[in-house]
Amino acid sequence: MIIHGRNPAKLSAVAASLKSSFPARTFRTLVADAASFPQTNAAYEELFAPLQSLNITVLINNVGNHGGVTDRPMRTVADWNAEELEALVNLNLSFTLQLTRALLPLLKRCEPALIVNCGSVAEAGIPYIAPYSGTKAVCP
Amino acid sequence: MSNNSSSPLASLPLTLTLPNVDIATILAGLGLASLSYNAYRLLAAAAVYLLPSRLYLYHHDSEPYALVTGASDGIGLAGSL
Repeated sequence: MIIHGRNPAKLSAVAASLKSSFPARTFRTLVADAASFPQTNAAYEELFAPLQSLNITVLINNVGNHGGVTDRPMRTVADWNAEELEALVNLNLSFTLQLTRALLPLLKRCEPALIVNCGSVAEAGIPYIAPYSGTKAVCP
Repeated sequence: MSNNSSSPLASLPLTLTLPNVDIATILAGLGLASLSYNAYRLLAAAAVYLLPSRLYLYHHDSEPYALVTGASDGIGLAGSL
């Protein structure tokens, strides 16, 4: 299993705890900050370079939250600042979409393969979390 | 009078006949359609939990990997376990 996260220390701790629970399995880590990941071919090629020789048959697109915004998470669009919105859209939408695109050739090579996207009821549109709802409607 | 009978409209059938179906039959048909649709949805939702997992389909070749994004916390961490 390959587990992705942004904090290397936290990710290593999770990998170690998974390994102790499932000693027969192999766990690898993939570090990338989804909220600020550069949306370029080169960046994704570099991210996946160490994985090219692996048989990846399942992709679970799980990463996403409310952009890390904890101060008044329910607010109108006017109350967001540009950087917060950019981070939210990057985290919930661009990263998942681009990562799936970049990983497709590898999944194709390892067919049959599976992609699971984690959704949210927010895709229906929830007032005061409109940007989050929008990203969930695109990447349900 | 003679004008009317010579009009081209006079040769068209002016009565519209509706199929002989009473309103109760129509409503029963709608009810059956709605019941079938909702029963199908209920079964489709239940199937996820009742049918055996088919995840083994993706466990092939040597050392198959699953990539889980956002796996250090929340749903991703729970899913990895």
